Amino acid sequence: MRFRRLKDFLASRLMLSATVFSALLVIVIAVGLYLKSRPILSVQPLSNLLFSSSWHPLNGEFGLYPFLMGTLWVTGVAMIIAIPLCLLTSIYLAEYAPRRVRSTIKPMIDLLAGIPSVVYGLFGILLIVPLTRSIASAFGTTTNGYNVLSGGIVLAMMVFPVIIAISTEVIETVPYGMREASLALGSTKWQATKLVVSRGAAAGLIAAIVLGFTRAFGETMAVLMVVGNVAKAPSSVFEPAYPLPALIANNYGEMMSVPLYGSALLFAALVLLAVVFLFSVGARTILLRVERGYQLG
Amino acid sequence: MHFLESAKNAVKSSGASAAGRICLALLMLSLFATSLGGCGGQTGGEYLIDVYTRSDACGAGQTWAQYLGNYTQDDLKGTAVYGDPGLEEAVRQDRLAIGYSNLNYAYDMVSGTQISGVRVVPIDLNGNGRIDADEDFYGNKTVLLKAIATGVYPSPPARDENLVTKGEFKGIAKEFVRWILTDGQRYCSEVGYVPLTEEQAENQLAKLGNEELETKLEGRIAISGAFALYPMMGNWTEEFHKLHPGVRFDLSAGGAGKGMTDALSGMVDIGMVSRGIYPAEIQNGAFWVSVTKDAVFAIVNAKNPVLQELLTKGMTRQAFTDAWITGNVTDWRDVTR
Repeated sequence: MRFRRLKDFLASRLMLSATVFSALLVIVIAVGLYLKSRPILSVQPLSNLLFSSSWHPLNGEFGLYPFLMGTLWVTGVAMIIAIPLCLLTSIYLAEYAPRRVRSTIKPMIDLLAGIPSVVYGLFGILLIVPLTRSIASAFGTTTNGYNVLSGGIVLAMMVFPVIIAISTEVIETVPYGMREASLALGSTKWQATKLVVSRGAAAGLIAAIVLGFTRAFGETMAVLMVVGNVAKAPSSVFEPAYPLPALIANNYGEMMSVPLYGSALLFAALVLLAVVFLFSVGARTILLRVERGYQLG
Repeated sequence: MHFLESAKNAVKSSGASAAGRICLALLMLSLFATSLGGCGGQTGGEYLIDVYTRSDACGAGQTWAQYLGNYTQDDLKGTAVYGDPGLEEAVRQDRLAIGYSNLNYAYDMVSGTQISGVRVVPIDLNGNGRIDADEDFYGNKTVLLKAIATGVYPSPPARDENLVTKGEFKGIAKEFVRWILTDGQRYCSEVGYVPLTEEQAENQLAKLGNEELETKLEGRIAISGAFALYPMMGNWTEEFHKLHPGVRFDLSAGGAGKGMTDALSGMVDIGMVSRGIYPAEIQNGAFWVSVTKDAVFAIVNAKNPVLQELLTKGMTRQAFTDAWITGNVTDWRDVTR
């Protein structure tokens, strides 16, 4: 009899420790990065590190502003491309697609999630870089193809499976009664989807988009292969950029070779973590508002 | 634009204030606008030089920068691409490109001639505006290796390839390095590298010390680093494994910088570094031996608009500096004037 209670107790404590461990991991990483960033924080003021545009490690200048801008630009472009496409795809898959089409296409999209980052990068070099060259000439400017747009397109492709998988699930869980009610009142299927189902699924859709964003912020290899890696804040999508993950990956090799470089890169990692964290907090606030909106309304 | 409407609905139903909604709408609009417009990138021109460099911390970039003057890889301006193969592919795709590459990526391993799509730019060593007979050794790998070995091709951009570890080489790694410095040298010319002279090899062996490992050689050796040395190391690890089947290798590329960082942090036994060692690295415990020699070359696209003049006139060091460091020369026609 006691043994059963003991097993119950152990199971719950085990799950608690697993949860605590996962949560602690983020804190451990953040603290570790902070400790390793102390050398450079003690030498340079924080405002210099974050807002200075001059990146000359050999002169001791480590301004991260171009890289912050690079990250925001590339992620922004990726999400502008990805969000509409993904939402429309998931609505189609959940609402309109005949069962056979859905069962063929869904696994294919899930497969996208399994493709290694490097493969996306190679695909980007071979296909996307020439593509952005043509797009640029269609708009009247020229580019050698290694720019924000290439990075954004490659990133959008990597984010598709994440957003589509979650969005499709979310839309499918909207109670069928809501759709039936709308259709019974004479709406078309699209009206029902647009006005009723999207509201029911809004919280989940936002969560899916946030997850996509989070993946987009951190993707390193594929983006650095096509984005141009020029340490200057971009002023258009046809200019090269240098996102933070690319900075860290490219210059990992200099960590032991130039004084303070290792510390600067780890500080860049801390900044990236902070950006993702701020974004998650902001998204969570929006999510709470949306959910509260439904509870009251 | 249904998405925009749905987005608007989502924002409305989220309960955000009117001001908040306006801000959000403006943000989306401005993102949309700037993403379409922009006169960024290059501003046209059939002859605009498109400069490329390496994004990863590498020996080729550092060596090339040293050749141009007392510069470092960070001083090389241009679109930065990851890895030697990546840089080559970029040059192959862009008619107006100029980049740099290691010998064994510019020349085909088997045939010894230059690979297709890309051409090596001869260096006008005496600055007389044309490539004389004694400056013309780019036809195939054999002639080129001889020029590097005799010092006719300047050093930099020719350079020693080094193997680095923290503190000192130990155990089977030490025996492997010893083998590279003795028997391994005979494979160099065939693969496409300049072997060490007897004297150089002895100097490097002296660094290793004389104690030889008595027991049978077996275990794992982890090696990472320069793309430049990767082909040779692939050959060496294969040959050594044939001699000592108990020894297995984990070999990866990733750039000279990665090789150095991996070696100094103890993640690999041997780091391949295709450049000189910095004082800061020595302070961090770097110990190295030189094992072979190769070179970096400037490369352009095979369909470059002024290719014929480039091949007959070559480019001087000053021209390279103008392209990569100062940006003073931006037109292909000015290069060959």
